[in-house]
Amino acid sequence: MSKGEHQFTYNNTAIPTDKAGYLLDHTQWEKGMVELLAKSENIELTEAHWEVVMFVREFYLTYETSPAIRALVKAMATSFGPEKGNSRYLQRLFPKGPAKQATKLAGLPKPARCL
Amino acid sequence: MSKLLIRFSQSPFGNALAQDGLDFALAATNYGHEVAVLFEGDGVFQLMDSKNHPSTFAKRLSVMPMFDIEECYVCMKSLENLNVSPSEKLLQSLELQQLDTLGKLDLFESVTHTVTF
Amino acid sequence: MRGVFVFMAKYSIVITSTPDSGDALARVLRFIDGVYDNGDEVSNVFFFHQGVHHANRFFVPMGNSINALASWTSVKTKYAIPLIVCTTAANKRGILDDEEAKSLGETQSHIAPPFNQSGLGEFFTLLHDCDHVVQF
Repeated sequence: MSKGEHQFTYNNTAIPTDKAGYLLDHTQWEKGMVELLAKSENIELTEAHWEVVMFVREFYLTYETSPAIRALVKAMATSFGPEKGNSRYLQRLFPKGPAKQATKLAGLPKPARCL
Repeated sequence: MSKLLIRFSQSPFGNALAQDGLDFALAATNYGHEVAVLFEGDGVFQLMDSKNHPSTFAKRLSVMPMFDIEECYVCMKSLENLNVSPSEKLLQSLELQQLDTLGKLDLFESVTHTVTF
Repeated sequence: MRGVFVFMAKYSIVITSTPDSGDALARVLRFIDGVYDNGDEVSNVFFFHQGVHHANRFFVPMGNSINALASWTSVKTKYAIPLIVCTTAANKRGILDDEEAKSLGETQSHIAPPFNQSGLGEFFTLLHDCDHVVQF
Protein backbone atom coordinates (compact mmCIF):
# COMPACT_ATOMS: atom_id res chain seq x y z
CA MET A 1 0.00 0.00 0.00
CA SER A 2 1.41 3.37 -0.90
CA LYS A 3 1.28 6.60 1.04
CA GLY A 4 -1.75 8.15 -0.67
CA GLU A 5 -4.10 5.37 0.30
CA HIS A 6 -5.06 6.00 3.90
CA GLN A 7 -7.94 8.28 4.78
CA PHE A 8 -11.18 8.71 6.67
CA THR A 9 -14.36 10.43 5.60
CA TYR A 10 -15.62 13.52 7.35
CA ASN A 11 -18.59 15.58 6.16
CA ASN A 12 -18.42 13.79 2.81
CA THR A 13 -14.78 14.75 2.38
CA ALA A 14 -11.90 12.30 2.23
CA ILE A 15 -9.26 13.32 4.76
CA PRO A 16 -5.88 11.76 3.94
CA THR A 17 -3.87 10.26 6.79
CA ASP A 18 -0.66 8.32 7.22
CA LYS A 19 -0.86 4.60 7.83
CA ALA A 20 -1.21 5.13 11.58
CA GLY A 21 -4.17 7.46 11.12
CA TYR A 22 -2.50 10.84 11.70
CA LEU A 23 -3.71 13.62 9.41
CA LEU A 24 -1.28 14.35 6.60
CA ASP A 25 -2.31 18.00 6.61
CA HIS A 26 -2.93 19.49 10.03
CA THR A 27 -4.77 22.47 8.53
CA GLN A 28 -7.60 20.15 7.45
CA TRP A 29 -8.43 19.37 11.08
CA GLU A 30 -11.75 20.43 12.54
CA LYS A 31 -13.06 20.02 16.09
CA GLY A 32 -15.80 17.78 14.75
CA MET A 33 -13.20 15.16 13.82
CA VAL A 34 -12.02 14.60 17.38
CA GLU A 35 -14.91 12.25 18.20
CA LEU A 36 -14.04 10.05 15.22
CA LEU A 37 -10.32 10.05 15.98
CA ALA A 38 -10.96 9.31 19.66
CA LYS A 39 -13.08 6.32 18.70
CA SER A 40 -10.21 4.94 16.60
CA GLU A 41 -8.07 5.14 19.73
CA ASN A 42 -10.72 3.64 22.02
CA ILE A 43 -10.93 6.84 24.00
CA GLU A 44 -14.11 8.10 25.65
CA LEU A 45 -13.84 11.86 25.41
CA THR A 46 -14.25 13.97 28.52
CA GLU A 47 -13.64 17.67 29.24
CA ALA A 48 -10.19 16.68 30.47
CA HIS A 49 -9.35 15.01 27.15
CA TRP A 50 -10.52 18.06 25.21
CA GLU A 51 -8.38 20.31 27.34
CA VAL A 52 -5.24 18.35 26.53
CA VAL A 53 -6.10 17.98 22.84
CA MET A 54 -6.63 21.72 22.41
CA PHE A 55 -3.48 22.41 24.44
CA VAL A 56 -1.37 20.11 22.28
CA ARG A 57 -2.73 21.68 19.11
CA GLU A 58 -1.91 25.13 20.44
CA PHE A 59 1.61 23.92 21.28
CA TYR A 60 2.09 22.73 17.70
CA LEU A 61 0.76 25.94 16.19
CA THR A 62 3.12 27.93 18.41
CA TYR A 63 6.27 25.86 17.98
CA GLU A 64 5.68 23.90 14.75
CA THR A 65 6.82 20.92 16.81
CA SER A 66 4.76 18.20 18.48
CA PRO A 67 5.53 17.95 22.20
CA ALA A 68 7.33 14.88 23.49
CA ILE A 69 5.96 13.66 26.83
CA ARG A 70 8.56 15.60 28.86
CA ALA A 71 7.86 18.85 27.05
CA LEU A 72 4.10 18.23 27.29
CA VAL A 73 4.28 17.69 31.05
CA LYS A 74 6.40 20.82 31.46
CA ALA A 75 4.12 22.96 29.29
CA MET A 76 0.98 21.64 31.00
CA ALA A 77 2.49 22.32 34.42
CA THR A 78 3.27 25.89 33.39
CA SER A 79 -0.26 26.47 32.16
CA PHE A 80 -2.38 24.33 34.48
CA GLY A 81 -0.22 23.63 37.51
CA PRO A 82 1.18 20.34 38.84
CA GLU A 83 -2.21 18.60 39.25
CA LYS A 84 -2.49 18.33 35.49
CA GLY A 85 1.14 18.89 34.54
CA ASN A 86 2.34 15.43 35.43
CA SER A 87 2.78 12.22 33.45
CA ARG A 88 0.46 10.17 35.67
CA TYR A 89 -2.51 12.43 34.94
CA LEU A 90 -1.78 12.43 31.21
CA GLN A 91 -1.13 8.69 31.08
CA ARG A 92 -4.49 8.03 32.74
CA LEU A 93 -6.27 10.05 30.06
CA PHE A 94 -4.24 8.63 27.18
CA PRO A 95 -3.13 5.14 28.17
CA LYS A 96 -1.33 4.34 24.93
CA GLY A 97 0.90 7.38 25.28
CA PRO A 98 -0.21 10.99 25.80
CA ALA A 99 2.11 12.46 23.14
CA LYS A 100 1.13 9.78 20.62
CA GLN A 101 -2.61 9.88 21.18
CA ALA A 102 -3.28 13.55 21.95
CA THR A 103 -1.41 14.59 18.80
CA LYS A 104 -3.52 12.26 16.69
CA LEU A 105 -6.76 13.63 18.11
CA ALA A 106 -5.46 17.16 17.54
CA GLY A 107 -4.88 16.46 13.84
CA LEU A 108 -1.14 16.86 14.15
CA PRO A 109 1.61 14.85 12.46
CA LYS A 110 2.86 11.75 14.27
CA PRO A 111 5.48 12.80 16.81
CA ALA A 112 9.10 12.20 15.83
CA ARG A 113 10.29 8.79 16.89
CA CYS A 114 13.00 10.00 19.25
CA LEU A 115 11.14 12.88 20.80
CA MET B 1 27.35 15.21 34.87
CA SER B 2 28.55 15.43 31.29
CA LYS B 3 27.44 18.37 29.19
CA LEU B 4 26.98 18.44 25.44
CA LEU B 5 27.53 21.59 23.40
CA ILE B 6 25.72 21.79 20.10
CA ARG B 7 26.93 24.41 17.68
CA PHE B 8 24.57 25.71 15.02
CA SER B 9 26.72 27.09 12.24
CA GLN B 10 24.55 26.69 9.16
CA SER B 11 22.14 29.18 7.66
CA PRO B 12 18.49 28.18 7.39
CA PHE B 13 18.19 29.58 3.88
CA GLY B 14 17.74 27.38 0.84
CA ASN B 15 17.83 24.08 2.71
CA ALA B 16 16.35 22.23 5.63
CA LEU B 17 19.69 21.22 7.14
CA ALA B 18 19.36 23.41 10.21
CA GLN B 19 16.41 21.30 11.36
CA ASP B 20 18.73 18.31 11.91
CA GLY B 21 20.70 20.29 14.48
CA LEU B 22 17.54 21.23 16.35
CA ASP B 23 16.23 17.63 16.29
CA PHE B 24 19.57 16.52 17.68
CA ALA B 25 19.38 19.03 20.53
CA LEU B 26 15.80 18.15 21.46
CA ALA B 27 16.50 14.42 21.43
CA ALA B 28 19.60 14.96 23.59
CA THR B 29 17.64 16.39 26.51
CA ASN B 30 14.83 13.94 25.90
CA TYR B 31 17.34 11.18 26.62
CA GLY B 32 18.67 12.76 29.76
CA HIS B 33 21.66 14.79 28.57
CA GLU B 34 22.54 18.29 29.65
CA VAL B 35 22.74 20.56 26.63
CA ALA B 36 24.02 24.02 25.74
CA VAL B 37 23.61 25.48 22.26
CA LEU B 38 25.76 28.06 20.51
CA PHE B 39 24.79 29.96 17.39
CA GLU B 40 27.83 31.01 15.41
CA GLY B 41 28.95 31.70 11.86
CA ASP B 42 26.06 31.46 9.41
CA GLY B 43 24.04 29.86 12.20
CA VAL B 44 23.19 33.33 13.51
CA PHE B 45 20.87 33.74 10.52
CA GLN B 46 18.62 31.20 12.24
CA LEU B 47 17.90 33.81 14.89
CA MET B 48 16.45 36.41 12.58
CA ASP B 49 12.93 37.70 12.87
CA SER B 50 10.28 35.66 11.10
CA LYS B 51 9.42 38.41 8.65
CA ASN B 52 12.94 38.19 7.29
CA HIS B 53 13.31 34.47 6.95
CA PRO B 54 11.24 31.26 6.85
CA SER B 55 8.83 31.88 9.67
CA THR B 56 8.87 28.37 10.98
CA PHE B 57 12.49 28.47 12.10
CA ALA B 58 12.25 31.08 14.82
CA LYS B 59 9.09 29.32 15.97
CA ARG B 60 10.84 25.97 16.12
CA LEU B 61 13.87 27.31 17.93
CA SER B 62 11.64 28.84 20.57
CA VAL B 63 10.57 25.33 21.65
CA MET B 64 14.00 24.65 23.18
CA PRO B 65 13.19 25.79 26.74
CA MET B 66 10.17 23.43 26.65
CA PHE B 67 12.68 20.65 26.13
CA ASP B 68 14.84 21.85 29.02
CA ILE B 69 17.47 23.53 26.85
CA GLU B 70 18.14 26.57 28.93
CA GLU B 71 21.71 27.49 28.03
CA CYS B 72 21.62 29.31 24.72
CA TYR B 73 24.55 31.35 23.47
CA VAL B 74 25.33 33.41 20.42
CA CYS B 75 28.72 34.49 19.11
CA MET B 76 28.96 38.28 19.17
CA LYS B 77 31.59 38.38 16.45
CA SER B 78 29.39 36.39 14.07
CA LEU B 79 26.47 38.75 14.67
CA GLU B 80 28.74 41.71 13.90
CA ASN B 81 30.44 40.18 10.87
CA LEU B 82 27.16 39.15 9.27
CA ASN B 83 25.30 42.23 10.46
CA VAL B 84 22.50 40.22 11.99
CA SER B 85 20.06 41.46 14.62
CA PRO B 86 18.47 38.52 16.39
CA SER B 87 14.70 38.56 16.83
CA GLU B 88 13.87 40.33 20.08
CA LYS B 89 11.25 37.74 20.86
CA LEU B 90 13.69 34.90 20.43
CA LEU B 91 16.39 36.69 22.42
CA GLN B 92 13.98 36.81 25.30
CA SER B 93 12.36 33.43 25.10
CA LEU B 94 15.73 31.69 24.83
CA GLU B 95 17.46 34.08 27.26
CA LEU B 96 20.24 34.19 24.67
CA GLN B 97 23.61 35.15 26.08
CA GLN B 98 26.04 36.89 23.79
CA LEU B 99 29.61 35.64 24.02
CA ASP B 100 32.87 37.27 23.03
CA THR B 101 35.90 35.14 22.13
CA LEU B 102 36.95 34.59 25.75
CA GLY B 103 33.38 33.69 26.62
CA LYS B 104 33.35 31.09 23.86
CA LEU B 105 36.63 29.61 25.07
CA ASP B 106 35.21 29.33 28.57
CA LEU B 107 32.16 27.60 27.13
CA PHE B 108 34.26 25.11 25.13
CA GLU B 109 36.28 24.33 28.25
CA SER B 110 33.20 23.73 30.34
CA VAL B 111 31.58 21.07 28.19
CA THR B 112 32.35 17.38 27.78
CA HIS B 113 31.33 16.86 24.17
CA THR B 114 30.78 19.12 21.18
CA VAL B 115 28.87 18.41 17.99
CA THR B 116 28.58 20.93 15.16
CA PHE B 117 25.83 21.38 12.61
CA MET C 1 50.71 -8.31 37.77
CA ARG C 2 48.62 -7.10 40.67
CA GLY C 3 46.15 -4.25 41.05
CA VAL C 4 46.82 -2.70 37.67
CA PHE C 5 43.92 -0.57 36.61
CA VAL C 6 43.68 -0.11 32.86
CA PHE C 7 41.34 2.59 31.72
CA MET C 8 39.80 1.84 28.36
CA ALA C 9 38.32 4.92 26.76
CA LYS C 10 35.05 4.54 24.92
CA TYR C 11 34.48 6.61 21.81
CA SER C 12 31.24 7.53 20.10
CA ILE C 13 31.75 8.58 16.50
CA VAL C 14 29.23 10.87 14.84
CA ILE C 15 29.27 11.05 11.05
CA THR C 16 27.57 14.11 9.58
CA SER C 17 29.51 14.35 6.32
CA THR C 18 28.75 12.55 3.07
CA PRO C 19 30.93 9.64 1.89
CA ASP C 20 32.38 11.86 -0.83
CA SER C 21 33.31 14.77 1.44
CA GLY C 22 36.99 15.15 0.83
CA ASP C 23 38.95 12.64 2.88
CA ALA C 24 36.58 12.43 5.86
CA LEU C 25 35.78 8.77 5.23
CA ALA C 26 39.46 7.83 4.93
CA ARG C 27 40.21 9.73 8.13
CA VAL C 28 37.45 8.15 10.16
CA LEU C 29 38.51 4.66 9.10
CA ARG C 30 42.09 5.43 10.16
CA PHE C 31 40.78 6.94 13.38
CA ILE C 32 38.88 3.78 14.26
CA ASP C 33 41.96 1.63 13.69
CA GLY C 34 43.92 4.08 15.82
CA VAL C 35 41.46 3.81 18.70
CA TYR C 36 41.80 0.03 18.83
CA ASP C 37 45.58 0.13 18.34
CA ASN C 38 45.63 2.30 21.42
CA GLY C 39 43.74 -0.28 23.45
CA ASP C 40 40.52 1.75 23.52
CA GLU C 41 37.18 1.00 21.92
CA VAL C 42 34.44 2.50 19.80
CA SER C 43 31.00 2.20 21.34
CA ASN C 44 29.10 3.03 18.16
CA VAL C 45 29.26 4.95 14.92
CA PHE C 46 26.20 7.13 14.44
CA PHE C 47 25.18 8.32 10.97
CA PHE C 48 23.13 11.50 11.04
CA HIS C 49 22.50 14.65 8.99
CA GLN C 50 24.38 14.31 5.69
CA GLY C 51 26.15 11.25 7.11
CA VAL C 52 23.14 9.05 6.34
CA HIS C 53 24.37 8.89 2.75
CA HIS C 54 27.04 6.42 3.92
CA ALA C 55 24.25 3.94 4.59
CA ASN C 56 22.68 4.16 1.17
CA ARG C 57 23.67 0.89 -0.44
CA PHE C 58 23.04 2.35 -3.88
CA PHE C 59 25.53 5.18 -3.41
CA VAL C 60 28.09 4.99 -6.19
CA PRO C 61 31.59 6.24 -5.35
CA MET C 62 33.23 8.35 -8.05
CA GLY C 63 36.43 7.27 -9.74
CA ASN C 64 39.05 6.03 -7.31
CA SER C 65 37.33 7.13 -4.14
CA ILE C 66 36.73 4.70 -1.30
CA ASN C 67 33.67 2.49 -1.41
CA ALA C 68 31.71 3.37 1.74
CA LEU C 69 29.67 0.17 1.86
CA ALA C 70 32.73 -2.04 1.54
CA SER C 71 34.64 0.01 4.13
CA TRP C 72 31.90 -0.06 6.74
CA THR C 73 31.26 -3.76 6.15
CA SER C 74 34.90 -4.34 6.87
CA VAL C 75 34.78 -2.20 10.04
CA LYS C 76 31.77 -4.16 11.24
CA THR C 77 33.45 -7.49 10.53
CA LYS C 78 36.70 -6.50 12.20
CA TYR C 79 35.43 -4.71 15.30
CA ALA C 80 31.71 -5.55 15.63
CA ILE C 81 30.87 -1.88 16.27
CA PRO C 82 27.16 -1.01 15.98
CA LEU C 83 26.69 1.23 12.92
CA ILE C 84 23.59 3.21 13.79
CA VAL C 85 21.66 5.14 11.19
CA CYS C 86 19.04 7.76 11.99
CA THR C 87 16.19 6.59 9.79
CA THR C 88 14.29 9.87 10.14
CA ALA C 89 17.22 11.81 8.66
CA ALA C 90 17.66 9.13 6.02
CA ASN C 91 14.01 8.99 4.92
CA LYS C 92 13.97 12.79 4.66
CA ARG C 93 16.72 12.45 2.07
CA GLY C 94 14.98 9.71 0.14
CA ILE C 95 17.14 6.98 1.63
CA LEU C 96 14.45 4.56 2.62
CA ASP C 97 14.51 2.29 5.62
CA ASP C 98 12.50 -0.96 5.58
CA GLU C 99 9.41 0.58 7.15
CA GLU C 100 9.24 3.58 4.86
CA ALA C 101 9.94 1.48 1.77
CA LYS C 102 7.10 -0.84 2.73
CA SER C 103 4.63 1.96 3.35
CA LEU C 104 5.47 3.46 -0.04
CA GLY C 105 4.99 0.13 -1.76
CA GLU C 106 8.65 -0.18 -2.66
CA THR C 107 10.06 -3.69 -2.78
CA GLN C 108 13.57 -2.71 -1.69
CA SER C 109 14.84 -0.42 0.99
CA HIS C 110 18.12 1.48 0.71
CA ILE C 111 19.54 0.59 4.10
CA ALA C 112 20.81 -2.90 4.83
CA PRO C 113 23.44 -4.60 7.03
CA PRO C 114 26.06 -3.70 8.21
CA PHE C 115 23.92 -0.67 9.16
CA ASN C 116 21.28 -0.72 11.91
CA GLN C 117 18.07 1.16 11.21
CA SER C 118 17.64 3.20 14.34
CA GLY C 119 17.62 6.76 15.59
CA LEU C 120 18.83 9.55 17.82
CA GLY C 121 17.38 7.75 20.82
CA GLU C 122 19.80 4.86 20.58
CA PHE C 123 22.78 7.16 20.05
CA PHE C 124 21.91 9.29 23.08
CA THR C 125 21.27 6.24 25.24
CA LEU C 126 24.74 4.88 24.41
CA LEU C 127 26.30 8.30 24.88
CA HIS C 128 25.83 8.09 28.65
CA ASP C 129 28.55 5.44 28.72
CA CYS C 130 30.99 7.14 26.36
CA ASP C 131 34.03 9.20 27.24
CA HIS C 132 34.57 11.00 23.97
CA VAL C 133 32.52 12.09 20.98
CA VAL C 134 34.39 12.59 17.72
CA GLN C 135 32.66 14.02 14.69
CA PHE C 136 33.55 13.50 11.03
